Amino acid sequence: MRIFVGLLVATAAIAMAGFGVTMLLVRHRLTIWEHCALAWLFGTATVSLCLWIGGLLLRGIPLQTTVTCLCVALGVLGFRRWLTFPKAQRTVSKKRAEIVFIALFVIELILMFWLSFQRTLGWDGLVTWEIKARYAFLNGGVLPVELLRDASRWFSNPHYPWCLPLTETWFYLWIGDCDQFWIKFIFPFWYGAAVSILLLAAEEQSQNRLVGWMIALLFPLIPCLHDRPGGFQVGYADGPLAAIYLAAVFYLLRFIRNGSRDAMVLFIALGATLPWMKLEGVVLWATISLCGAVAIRQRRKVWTATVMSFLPGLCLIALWKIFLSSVRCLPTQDFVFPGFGPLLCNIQRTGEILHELFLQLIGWHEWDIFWLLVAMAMITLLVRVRNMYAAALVWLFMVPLVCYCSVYLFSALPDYIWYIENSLRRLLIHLVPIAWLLIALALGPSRSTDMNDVRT
Amino acid sequence: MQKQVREHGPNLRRSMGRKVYFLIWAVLFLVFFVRTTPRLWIDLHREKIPWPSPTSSMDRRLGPVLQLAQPSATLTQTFARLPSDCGLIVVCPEDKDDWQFVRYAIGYLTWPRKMDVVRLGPNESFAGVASEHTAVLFCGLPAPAGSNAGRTIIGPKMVLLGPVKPK
Repeated sequence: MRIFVGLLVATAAIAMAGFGVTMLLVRHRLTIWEHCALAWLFGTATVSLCLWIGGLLLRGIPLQTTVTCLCVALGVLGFRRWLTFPKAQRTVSKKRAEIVFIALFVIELILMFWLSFQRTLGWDGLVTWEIKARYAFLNGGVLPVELLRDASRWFSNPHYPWCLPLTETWFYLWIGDCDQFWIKFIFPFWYGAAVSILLLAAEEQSQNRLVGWMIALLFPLIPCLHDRPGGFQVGYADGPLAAIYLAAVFYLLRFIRNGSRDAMVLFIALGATLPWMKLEGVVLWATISLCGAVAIRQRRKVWTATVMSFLPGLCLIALWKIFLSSVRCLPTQDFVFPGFGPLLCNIQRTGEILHELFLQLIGWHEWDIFWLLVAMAMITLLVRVRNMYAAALVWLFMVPLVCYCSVYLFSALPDYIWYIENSLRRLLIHLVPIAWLLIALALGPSRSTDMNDVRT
Repeated sequence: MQKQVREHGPNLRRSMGRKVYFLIWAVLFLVFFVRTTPRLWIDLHREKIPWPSPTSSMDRRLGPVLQLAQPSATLTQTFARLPSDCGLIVVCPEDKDDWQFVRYAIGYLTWPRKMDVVRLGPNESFAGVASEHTAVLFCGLPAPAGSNAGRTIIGPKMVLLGPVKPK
């Protein structure tokens, strides 16, 4: 019974914090789908950041109480602000088809919960992420810094950011124990957030609600998302990172479309949380920030806002780096520092890397025909929809892909092929929702119709 | 009349083209749905956790390798009987994925105890000895013959040499 109450309270606190942060950032009501998704995405980032920063001063019950009070305060502030906003732009449609689609979404969400409880945490789920949550729980909610300089436990990748481990710690603090079974309860929430945003994003790209629903409902059917390491069921950070990246991209595209101030603030804030979830988040943050900077410059015509859009992410990355160096964290052993020397030395790997990427993309067991659909969408975009949304989406998909592949040029592991085989699939998961958006855009109006729409 | 047909021709062709285009996508979505749904269904029924427990994930991986019923609990209890300042040397076979996970799991379970790892190739042997402040855990390798004092057998695959307190 205590476990259920603990799970409920921990989830409610995260949702309150996330709702509060969202409301403090925006000036208009959002749709229910956005509220739910952002409550979880911002909530987990807020609670984990509070545990990290609060943990520098407090531990145990005082830390838990302080973070809980902060969550409640944010929730109350957010609710009071929400009451002052004008009515929502759009409410949930009550059409029969919409109800059927919502029912299907709920069924898929339940299946994802079921799948999570059926499966065990994966290798990295245990010894990279959950291990830190366990140690933090045993240390009163504060991750012991000794772990960061313990060479015998370098396998836990001590330099990885703490969004996921401290979110897990938050649940452990409320459950009152470390529990590898019940902690899997949290991962389907990221899936739910991803699908909620994907529905809206695909609808906006295709300008068709039906296409939005089809894509949202087909999303979890990719075998890699429910059957392989890195999916939502094994406790890895890749699924959550994909959800955050999708949300950031959605608001960036909305900003490009209508120049909304809310969309700009949300894409900047969501982008800033990417490096807090996983190291690869830095690549995704840089990609979205560069694209966002161009969009802000075009829309607002001022350099201040353009430069300021980088600040939240930069501050978070800098804070984390300063923290790691202040506690003398062990450096990463998997990569050499990128430079011309290692690049020239390893340039002959390019062929192998591209070959492995190709093998990955045609892997029926992992992806089925998903990448074929994406390839078709890309070709279609080049032929039919050559506009700025297509350019932005292709950038947001291709740049991280190129960066992820280039990273293997700097791999310090002797058997880098083994490394690619084990990690590339998980890296591709970050880009799956964006690939779905490419498909949605390909199903949208053609260039001429779209340009008319933009002009009006 | 001819002019009207000429004007409607391109529109009709465009409209047909759009229909064919969306039909191709509908077929591709259908193929994707038909191929992937049974896999999700199969996935829902396989590799179930036999009984939910706080260490279910760790036990699921360690159990088959160590051939122990409750490996996390057994290892935790055994390590708890070592003095708190006693370090641990884990000796295990080199380049085997299963034992790599065991090594990581021991690191996971023994925190904050200091731990070192020695990986042995096929013809190598471990030269170190257990002491008051260092226990040696042999994983998947035979422990050196000697007296039974300070020797704790943990299932068929592990032997701990060190100052273990009696139960």
